[in-house]
Amino acid sequence: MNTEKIKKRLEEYYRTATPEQVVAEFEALGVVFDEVPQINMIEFSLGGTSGMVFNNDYKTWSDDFLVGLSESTVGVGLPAPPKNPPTQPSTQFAMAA
Amino acid sequence: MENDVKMIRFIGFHGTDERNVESIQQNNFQESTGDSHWLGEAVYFFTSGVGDGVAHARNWAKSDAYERKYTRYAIIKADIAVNDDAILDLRLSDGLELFNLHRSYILTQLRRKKKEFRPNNEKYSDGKVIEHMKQVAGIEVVVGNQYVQFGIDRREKIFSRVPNCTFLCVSNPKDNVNPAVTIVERGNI
Repeated sequence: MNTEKIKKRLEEYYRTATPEQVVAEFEALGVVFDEVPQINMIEFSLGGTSGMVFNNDYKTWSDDFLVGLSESTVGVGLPAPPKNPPTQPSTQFAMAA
Repeated sequence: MENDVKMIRFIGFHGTDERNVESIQQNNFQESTGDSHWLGEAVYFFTSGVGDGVAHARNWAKSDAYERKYTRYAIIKADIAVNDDAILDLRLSDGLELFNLHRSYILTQLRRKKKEFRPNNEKYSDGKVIEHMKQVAGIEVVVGNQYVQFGIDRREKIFSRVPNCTFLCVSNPKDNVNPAVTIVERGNI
């Protein structure tokens, strides 16, 4: 296998292709795509704990794990989620590129 | 420089319905098409590597007979020759890295257009990524170690992630497969 030549061709393609072109090429191969749903993400800070609200679900980082806040997490030192979501402007956020 | 290409040769074994032999001898192989093919639309051969290519071709022909309803099989030996810059060798870490590089690139571009593979109907398949690599990088042969469900595995519905064979997926057979094939075995299912 001639790795360098193949890699060079791929890199040339990556340099020149557009996302629209990639989608069209896969659709020409018979692939039918779904649209990725929009996700509203709002940052919050509450009682010394900061995190994110995804579609009204409060989540914060605890020891590298994303933990959902609920009444049960109050016992382990995390705050209970507020009854009303934060009012700062939302950030439109598509899943990580 | 474009002139430093090497020709690489493989021996492949193809197990099939014995009634296909005459057509293959006269017209060469036809690519298998459709969404279910593991590594894209191509002619699939077993080759040396994990296990024995002839034995795998025999097992495959006998397994396939139950679905395709034939009673006699044949194993065809073919010579495949292709330039080294048209081979994606997934037995090698270089080949795996190229594939993963391209897959990551594709998924990134799709996300930029807010697209995703349809989860229920048109699921993601490695075959589609390889079909795309053929178009953009001139790949014509893919070599890989894979797990294939042979007879007892199919009946027992066993699936494994540990490869049990090595196969070649050859595109453009008229350019890459020597039409002077050899019948190495015939038999009853």
